[in-house]
Amino acid sequence: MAESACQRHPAIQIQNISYSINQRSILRNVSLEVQSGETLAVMGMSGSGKTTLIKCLAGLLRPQSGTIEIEGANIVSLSESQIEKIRLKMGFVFQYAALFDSLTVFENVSFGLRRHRHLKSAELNAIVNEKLALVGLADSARLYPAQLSGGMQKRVGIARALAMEPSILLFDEPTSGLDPIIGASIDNLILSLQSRLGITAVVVSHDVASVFRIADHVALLHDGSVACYGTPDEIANCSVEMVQKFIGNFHPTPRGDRIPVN
Amino acid sequence: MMEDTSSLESAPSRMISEPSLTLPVVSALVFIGQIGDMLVRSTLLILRGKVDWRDAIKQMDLLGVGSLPIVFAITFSTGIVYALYSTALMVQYGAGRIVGGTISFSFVTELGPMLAGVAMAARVGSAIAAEIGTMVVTEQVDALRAMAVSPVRYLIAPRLLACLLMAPAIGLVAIFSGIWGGMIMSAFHGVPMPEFLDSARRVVFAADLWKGVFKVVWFAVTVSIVACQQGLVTTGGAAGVGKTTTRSVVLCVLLVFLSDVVLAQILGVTRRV
Repeated sequence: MAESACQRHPAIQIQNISYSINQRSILRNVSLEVQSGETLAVMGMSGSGKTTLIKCLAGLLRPQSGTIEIEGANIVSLSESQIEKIRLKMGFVFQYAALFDSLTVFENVSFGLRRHRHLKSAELNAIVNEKLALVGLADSARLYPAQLSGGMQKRVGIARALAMEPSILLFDEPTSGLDPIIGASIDNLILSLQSRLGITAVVVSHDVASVFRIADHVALLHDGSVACYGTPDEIANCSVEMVQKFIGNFHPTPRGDRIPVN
Repeated sequence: MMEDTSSLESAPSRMISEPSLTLPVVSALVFIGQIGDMLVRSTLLILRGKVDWRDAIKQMDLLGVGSLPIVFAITFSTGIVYALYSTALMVQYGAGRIVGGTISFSFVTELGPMLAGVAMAARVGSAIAAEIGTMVVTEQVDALRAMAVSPVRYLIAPRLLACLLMAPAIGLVAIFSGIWGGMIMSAFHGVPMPEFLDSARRVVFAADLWKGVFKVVWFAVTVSIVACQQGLVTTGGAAGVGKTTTRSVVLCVLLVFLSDVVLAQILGVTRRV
């Protein structure tokens, strides 16, 4: 559960990470911090390094320098098998859902549970059905990913990430390509997860309206570096020209209005 | 040793951008290193019983049972054609009594295993590379890793185990369907079936059969691991999957032929008493 503000400590601490591939620099000395129970949104234009950053957080990519501490453990220096233990505390929602297309929705959501928890069939069914109900897809368990719309696939991806009851959730473009109504329902879901379960979240997005609604802090990446970091209000008032161009006429949602709609 | 599959994915593309005379050597060393790493890790998982049997059985059905009809068709027809060309000639030169032995020995030691290897390279090599390659480009492999499930454990080890377990059956089908095809055609060219079988029994020893089956097991391991490695290094969307599949089949066929030369030298010919 979320701790009170005075007891909070960073769940994720990124210090000076740099990542390059094919001699092209993707991330340059990025440093960020996410407190436990907080939502950090990372914005930026296409190619600014957002997805690379979130994949580094999950240990899917290894930065060439710097440290990433997840709940105190520096995953950059860990072996793949050690990172797997850290990943059990994390859920990752991929941009295009990345569902296993040969498995049904039920099998996708239960995938991690079957491999990491020794649950009885009834317990497993209960958890999967609960997570599917949470994303509004309780009656789609027997369908295959190809039979679902993009928004439904994304929600199955969220249910799959939630199944292991992680303390940290990583979202890669959760609302991109979705209509405004589905996008808003995913925003609501993220807010409700934060308020009900105290989950720490990192959301990568270029949807400014969504980011201003769900984030406690926002980091704006430009050309692989953090161009601006602060609360949504601070970002809205940031004087950097590029930041103002990026956010346009959007303004943060007042905190009192950020309660999820059930 | 390979740290993770992300390094596996990025390694070849890193090298492509660095044109150098040492590039082919480095590429070959990276390829050998990745193949060796995957083989060792998968074998350890299999030996420790950490492979999900449901996954392995599913792969045995897809890769093994699914390959049997094509292996049968290829070797049976080759047996027919081989006998068509050779039997009449041998009968003409008075060597009809050794037709059965010649055809059977050829199929047990070389033709059966080799044709089975090529059929596996085409069918299994393409199926595995295309499936895993598609999983890579659609981030399904990343999703596996994000859920703390090792791609080696979930994708490679079950496929290797399935190919290992099905290889003897594929090898035996290849050998005996080839001999059967040859026997039927020889009967039409003046070598009755009992004479064919009698000759085969005198020429072919059990050790030859086991050597032939061993070759098929070797080819199955080669094909499954190379196809998995090729699948995991896929980059570049649908076109990348196409290239990966083609490269996998070409590499598998090439390695089947090259390793056959080495295996033939090592296994030799069983001494005739």
